[in-house]
Amino acid sequence: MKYQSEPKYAQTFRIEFGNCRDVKMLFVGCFVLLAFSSLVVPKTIAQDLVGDLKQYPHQIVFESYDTDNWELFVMNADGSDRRKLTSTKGLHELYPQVSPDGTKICFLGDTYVDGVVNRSVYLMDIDGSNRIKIADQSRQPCWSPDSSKIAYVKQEFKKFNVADYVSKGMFFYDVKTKKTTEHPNPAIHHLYNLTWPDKNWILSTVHGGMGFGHAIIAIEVDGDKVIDLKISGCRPCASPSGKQITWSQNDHTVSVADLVLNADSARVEKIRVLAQSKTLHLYHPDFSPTGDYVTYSSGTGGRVAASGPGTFTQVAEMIGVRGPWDIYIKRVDGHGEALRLTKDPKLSNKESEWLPRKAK
Amino acid sequence: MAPSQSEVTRWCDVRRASYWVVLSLFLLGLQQGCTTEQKKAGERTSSRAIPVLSLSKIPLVLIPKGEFLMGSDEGPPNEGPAHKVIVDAYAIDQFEVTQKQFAAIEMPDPSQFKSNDRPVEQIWWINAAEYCNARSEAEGLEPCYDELDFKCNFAASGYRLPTEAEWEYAARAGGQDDSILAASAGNKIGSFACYAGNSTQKTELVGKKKPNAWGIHEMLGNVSEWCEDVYLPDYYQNSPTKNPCAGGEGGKRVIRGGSWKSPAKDLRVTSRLGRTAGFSDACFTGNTLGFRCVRRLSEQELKQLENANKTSE
Repeated sequence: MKYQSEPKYAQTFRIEFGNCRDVKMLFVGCFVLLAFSSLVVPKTIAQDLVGDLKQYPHQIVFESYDTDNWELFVMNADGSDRRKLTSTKGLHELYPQVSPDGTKICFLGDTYVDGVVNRSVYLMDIDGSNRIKIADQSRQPCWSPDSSKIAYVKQEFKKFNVADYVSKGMFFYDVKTKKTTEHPNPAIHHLYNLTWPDKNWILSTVHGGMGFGHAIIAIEVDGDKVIDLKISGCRPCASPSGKQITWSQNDHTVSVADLVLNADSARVEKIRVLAQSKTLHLYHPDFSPTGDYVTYSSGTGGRVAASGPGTFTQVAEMIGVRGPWDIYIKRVDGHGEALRLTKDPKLSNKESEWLPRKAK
Repeated sequence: MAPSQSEVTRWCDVRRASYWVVLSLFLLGLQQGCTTEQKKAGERTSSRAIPVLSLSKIPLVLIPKGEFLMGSDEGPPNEGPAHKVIVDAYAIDQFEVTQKQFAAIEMPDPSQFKSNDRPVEQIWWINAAEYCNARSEAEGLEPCYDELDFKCNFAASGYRLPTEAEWEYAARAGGQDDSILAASAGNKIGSFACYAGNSTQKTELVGKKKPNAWGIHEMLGNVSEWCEDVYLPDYYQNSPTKNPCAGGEGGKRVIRGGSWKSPAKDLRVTSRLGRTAGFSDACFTGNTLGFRCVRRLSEQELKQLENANKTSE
């Protein structure tokens, strides 16, 4: 019986290739073509990307879990020369956000005192010096396009909760005057991942708040207009020019689209998929300063157990959750494969942001 | 005779051992404070089901141990065969878990349709289980769920999600409630449930619809309710008779009861569906998904309750 099955395969083969005049010639042709292409195009596309990135005059700052502590690290655009930007025991630095003028970084700092978690927003110079705390029990900071203000949201309850949408109200910290003002819209509730593309609008994910189930919205900076951008997913990031947006369209897809912002309207056009994985989760996309590349974090989905000081049991895309994740980069035009920049997922490398090379 | 308020307070200090006795007496003492809807529920409540308030003043109904015919031979294949099931005594929330209850223990409320007395929706199974644990801790009870793998410790004293059998037994009011069964067959369903035929495209305040014969509100409609069981379409083919609960690995958990979005045909006490529990996805779920909690009583609590009932009679 076993032997009888073999002619069936042979029959199938003949049917599939029945229109070829000479199957042997087809194989020979393919072989020659492959050999020729390997001579003429010796570099792979990924190698090309490495070459381009070696010359790219910007660096990447990101969070990583190192020796029982969350710290901010810096690396070159090609993933080389990884080094610590912060080194503080007792404070977990997370979620770095670089000012558009490249002079400062705001970030989140988690402390644990008597079992109580306090997540605060901090500000420091690009080299890690002159650190100050600007807001207690706050999260999700982002910079205004002119680098003069930091927008952030307040933790909703006194008790800390790692779920990123647990926030209420929006506040602005003026870097020059050090004064804080509240956004005029009292309905602001359950925002996470703010990004500030132009003087009129802040973009954010909203989950179970402001009348929305789950949406990416544009919030008027100094008014109460709110516009649903009508794109599924979360964690938007605007390009430095304010003309593009990248976000996680779902757990497995990072997309890019054109962002059309006017004084009275905000909309998204020409959505295209930038990166996808059937198995891994893709989150935290961020445009490079020239808008040519997007970095993102990727790793396994599902709940991860807290494993060490400063870590929480939750899904790894959330801030403070230590999961087996790494940072990847891909060209915004979608050309070529993604390049993995960090290669040690046990360090939970996430939340990449771009900064000028001048950081030391 | 109902105890005075100071007596109740003193009793409360005893906490765990006299928990349900206190609750029964507490309820009798505070009957005047009940809403009209709750009073109506009490009037309709069978002598076999007893309304009580938890320590955090959440109304529950004590369901006696009993047996009933679970499932249906006339519905879709996953609802059959109809089979005898025995469930131990338990207490179930009289209403779907509300947003006010979430706020009371500072749990993040993911609901789209905000209002204190609307049910929590847009909630994953795992977040519902987290609420059960938080509520247990707030009342000094042992949490049922391990918050990493979310395995349920049925022996723990705290709150958990109802098994399918517990949910259906409560929804049927033990099988004695002809009105809601008739309603679920198409008659007057609007009296008992917020569903596609009468909703305003969102959830309704809990307790707005008539309760079933055990005084439990909105077992059908408003929000579909998460159950403890892993969803297995053919589970009834071989499920155990006593306290069945489908466990094991499975990304889907059972939802029951239909929602404000469901057509009348889906509002049946036997209707069962499976939905992704939310172990991996943090953001995306539906505004039709909510839940209510249960607690299983210890033998000691049951005896104390029985004695308290004899005293009150």
